Amino acid sequence: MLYITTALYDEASPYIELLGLKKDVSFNKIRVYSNENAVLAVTGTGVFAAVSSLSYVLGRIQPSRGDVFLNVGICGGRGVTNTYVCRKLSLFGDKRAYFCPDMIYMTDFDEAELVTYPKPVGEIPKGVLVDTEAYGLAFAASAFFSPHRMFFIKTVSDEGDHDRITHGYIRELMEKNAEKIAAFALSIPHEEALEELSSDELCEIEKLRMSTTQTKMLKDCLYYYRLRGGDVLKLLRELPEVKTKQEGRETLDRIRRIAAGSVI
Amino acid sequence: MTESEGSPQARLYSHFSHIYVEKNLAGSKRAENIINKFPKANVIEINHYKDIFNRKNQSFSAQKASQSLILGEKHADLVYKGAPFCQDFGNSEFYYTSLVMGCVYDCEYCYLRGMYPGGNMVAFLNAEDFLDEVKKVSCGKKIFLCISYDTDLAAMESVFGFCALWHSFAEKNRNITIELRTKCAELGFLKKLRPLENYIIALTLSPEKNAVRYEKKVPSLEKRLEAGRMAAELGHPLRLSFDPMLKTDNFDETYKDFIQKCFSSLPANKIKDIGFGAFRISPSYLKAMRKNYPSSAIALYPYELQDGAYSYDKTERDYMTSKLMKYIEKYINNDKIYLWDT
Ligand code: SF4
Repeated sequence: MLYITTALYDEASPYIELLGLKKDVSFNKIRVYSNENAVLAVTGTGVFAAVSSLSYVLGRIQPSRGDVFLNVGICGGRGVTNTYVCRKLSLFGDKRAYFCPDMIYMTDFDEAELVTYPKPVGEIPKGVLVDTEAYGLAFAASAFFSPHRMFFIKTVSDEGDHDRITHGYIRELMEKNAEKIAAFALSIPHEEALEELSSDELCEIEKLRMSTTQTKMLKDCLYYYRLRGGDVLKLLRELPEVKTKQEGRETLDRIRRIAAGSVI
Repeated sequence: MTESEGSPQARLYSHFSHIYVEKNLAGSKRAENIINKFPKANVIEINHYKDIFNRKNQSFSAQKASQSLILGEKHADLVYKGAPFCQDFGNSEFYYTSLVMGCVYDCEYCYLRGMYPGGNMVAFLNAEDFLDEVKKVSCGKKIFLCISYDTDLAAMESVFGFCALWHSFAEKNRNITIELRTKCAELGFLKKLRPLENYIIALTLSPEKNAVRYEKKVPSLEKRLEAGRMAAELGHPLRLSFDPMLKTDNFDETYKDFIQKCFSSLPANKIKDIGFGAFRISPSYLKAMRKNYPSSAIALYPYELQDGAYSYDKTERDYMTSKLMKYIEKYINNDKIYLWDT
């Protein structure tokens, strides 16, 4: 699942269209759009709005290990234009507050460092991008997502001269790279996961009436047996019936030996 | 656009494309020297190495696919007492120290997969503090110090130069016997170092079949043997480490051929000693390893828990040990063979 956040609806709209997202009416505090592959939250502007909105969404749709977080939107930058992927996000006024997403997957964009301010700044420092949300989002998202699956991709809209920022201008800027950015986020490979045992196999395991710990140990043995090319279901079906705890222990031991194979 | 319509899988950055440097080290000579070795790297200033290395929710495997380098300083716990899972080669005063945490190689059986929160590499640039601490710990007594446990220091010698640094330390502190454990085949730097009785090169070797299957990015057995021969011929004390001994199909044949291959390449009379032991790992590391690598055969194997470590069951371990011992004894005196067992 891809989790996207933007501060404004104008930043979100190209992604809503591209990904075919529908308004999720179960969220009534902020605007959320979703389908089976992605969820997009329009968090509102400012670091507090960003943190609370994102926490609200993540509390309701809990991410799993392999999910991807993407923050897109406009930002300020002095003497620069273009779109940048952020390698460091910090909070203005707090030297200890910063977050570095893992830079593992390559984008076509240059990298930049971004500072999140409590309110829009007129005088933008040189060499960094500025916004009013990203650090807060990083802070909230890092409790749920792996740092290599978090992306902050920002497009410079102004040098602090906020008057030029209109709805149309934001959309125009965002539309330029939306397709590329969405394709990138969707291309992040899935995490390696252990394939669960089949329902038939689980059903056979239940018949062995083992304790929770024994069942866990048994499953581990069976994963290894499967990895070695063994037929787990056949092995389980050929086991003698288990009636007592002692027989359960013996069965576990037997499966462990079969799974491990012998070197002697 | 849907997930299945997405572009092909994202490209990865090359190793060390990103270097994180503690703010107080930025601009220091040692940091600059290292950074200059990676002219294309993006350099990011950080407050403390732990802000990157110890973050929550990191993926060891993803970071190993595109490793970043972290340059920092460490000020506490610079020297550790040798862990019970490690071989002491008969030394009662056994310590280890890690100027570098994390390894360029990627062995499937590596305990770092379960020990560290991530797969990046940290180098501590206040090396002299480590040297001073070792001196303090040794206090003039004879000690045995392993310097390349949680990394492969020799594989990074062209970047850090820490092997040479420890060598000159060993030269001045003859009471401290240093072991440089490595799987690296680029040991050319040894040509510049005077062989010292108290600076031991411990070359880890595995049967080719295991090396290919389980030792990603590690030089081939052939190349390691060549490097070992060179080290021995230069006169450096050479220790061989057949550790971990892994349970494999055709164990007897695999290890018999392997030992034979080793001693047809290496001069047996120049080998200082040999250490070996079956794969063993602490329960907490194994648990993390399984989480990080859910389909790794090494991680998933149904080990037995004995004396606080997971390993093969005793009967099998004894069998493998006695076989390997027999093969080694053909070439090396028994008193030079050290076995790790629970
Ligand atoms: S060489 Fe050693 S430290 Fe490096 S990955 Fe292999 S086992 Fe781990």
